[in-house]
Amino acid sequence: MLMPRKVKHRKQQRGRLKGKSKGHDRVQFGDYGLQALGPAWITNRQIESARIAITRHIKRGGKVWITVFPDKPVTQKPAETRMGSGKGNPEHWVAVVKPGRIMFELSGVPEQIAREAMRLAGHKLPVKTRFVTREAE
Amino acid sequence: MATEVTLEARPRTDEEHGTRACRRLRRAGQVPAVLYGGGTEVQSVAVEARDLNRVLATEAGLNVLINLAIGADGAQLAMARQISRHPLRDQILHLDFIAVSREDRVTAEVPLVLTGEAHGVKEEGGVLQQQLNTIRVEAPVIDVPQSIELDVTHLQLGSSLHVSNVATPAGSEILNDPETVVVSVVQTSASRMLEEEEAALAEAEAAEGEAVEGEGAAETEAAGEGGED
Repeated sequence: MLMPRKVKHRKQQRGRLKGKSKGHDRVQFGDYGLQALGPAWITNRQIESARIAITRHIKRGGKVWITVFPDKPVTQKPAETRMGSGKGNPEHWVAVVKPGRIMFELSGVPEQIAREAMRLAGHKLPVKTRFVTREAE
Repeated sequence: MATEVTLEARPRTDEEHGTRACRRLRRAGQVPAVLYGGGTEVQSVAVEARDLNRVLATEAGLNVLINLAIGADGAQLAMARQISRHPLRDQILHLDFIAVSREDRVTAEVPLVLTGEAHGVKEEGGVLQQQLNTIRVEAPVIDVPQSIELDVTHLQLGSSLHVSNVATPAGSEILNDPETVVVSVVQTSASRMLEEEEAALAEAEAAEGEAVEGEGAAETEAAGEGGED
């Protein structure tokens, strides 16, 4: 699963999910993409699950790009612990995704297969998504 | 010969500058824009969004030559550059027009169109990966190519074509680094991942099989010992 190799600080503040995606809101590497329509924290398990859904559907053809990286640690306190005594332990990693962000890209497969693969991947994510294609510029 | 279209624009007043004024313009179906370059003074203008979309939807794409009719001042030849779009809606938020004259040479991004089916895809099961979708060319304003074609028929698995393999259109000059990879045929990441998964599964099965064999042997040994007693 995706996670940083090393980080400067083990624990982070949560921050806010405000505004639209600042970049990567167009398909840049492949021919098709999966775009987030809302804000969310996407865990590395969800990313892996979506990736598996795509690669299983497209079988041996095509190339997949994962264009989000879970670099934000999320902490949790153990169950049935009293409040206080400092911040909890890092439990998992998330990618901060804002509306408009392309999360997965795909090339080398027909559009119909790409559309279905992205639909399956979208169901693994905690955010509304839509299928987008590269713009003819 | 470049496609030439006419687009009506009107100069923006002093009150029509800034975030709120621009939002009002967009709500009214207009797009704030700016015209500069070619020795002309910088001028803020507004164009109808519907007309703009029609102008940018021609075969020439973003390299269309626009005859910008600004109010009663007459026409100014321009090209669209730096288009900012809304991340979710298919809406142009703002764009820059660069003023040009017919004698000028301009730098433009021209779409690269691949023709033919690569040998590596057809016969060797690879996937065609296009790293560069547009080529940066310097060409006369009136003769910017609409697209550049590149034949990939003879491309084999593991090989690639570079910018140096792209035929330069007449009168134009390609500005990209000649060593930049344009297109290559690679083994698919999906097939590699699937192979890895299959290998892991086979390994797990083999380990399970060994464990069962080990248990079986232990049981036989135990039975043998029991028989002796």
